[in-house]
Amino acid sequence: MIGQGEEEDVKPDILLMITPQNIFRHEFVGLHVEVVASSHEGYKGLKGRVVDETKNTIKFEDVQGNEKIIPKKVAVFEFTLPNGVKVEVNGKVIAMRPENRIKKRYKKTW
Amino acid sequence: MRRGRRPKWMINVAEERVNILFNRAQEELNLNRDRSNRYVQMALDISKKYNLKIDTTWNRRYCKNCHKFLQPGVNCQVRLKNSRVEIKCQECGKIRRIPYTREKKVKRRRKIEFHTIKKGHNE
Repeated sequence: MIGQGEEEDVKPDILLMITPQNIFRHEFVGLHVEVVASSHEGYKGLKGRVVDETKNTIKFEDVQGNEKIIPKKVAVFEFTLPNGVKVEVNGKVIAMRPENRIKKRYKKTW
Repeated sequence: MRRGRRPKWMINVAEERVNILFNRAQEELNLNRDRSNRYVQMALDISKKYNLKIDTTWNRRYCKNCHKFLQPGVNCQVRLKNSRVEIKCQECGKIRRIPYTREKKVKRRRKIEFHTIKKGHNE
């Protein structure tokens, strides 16, 4: 019982917090990401766990442990949410500083 | 919306993100120290932008001088001295002092009240 209580504090929160509607404004660090399309052929198909984010790039770590840095504006990303839902996001929409993404007003694209 | 004040839904999202980032910093501490410190920096950036207070669970877990993640027993030292909690950052040497004299006074007052009431009943 005690073990269950401790888990309830942390895990279900993270499952519920990020939804396909607010993924634009929410945190990418820790999510699984895959590059679906890109103007540069070499980026296509790369995937891994997001470890860092800046205004113009996204950095993730693949299975071998290599860090890959990819510019946001040229690619389309597919994020896997903690509850298993997959969401495609165009890189042009999220090309701004991580703390500024919360306050931006987006046109509805979903 | 007052000047400088953000709407409620923005503050909610920001609080969730700060919480996630500190959890990640805790996970990465032993694997990649630089990454863990970077997450603390990102969380502080968000809290500055949306006028948030850092939650009590994470408030004492980062250095206010060098913005690094602290783990007692690994890179910080926690002592009780002169009615104060002293948290020393082993990375930069800064000591943060948090007094707890108010708690001590409340405790003492409660003790005195308890005894006086008891005496009154007996008489």
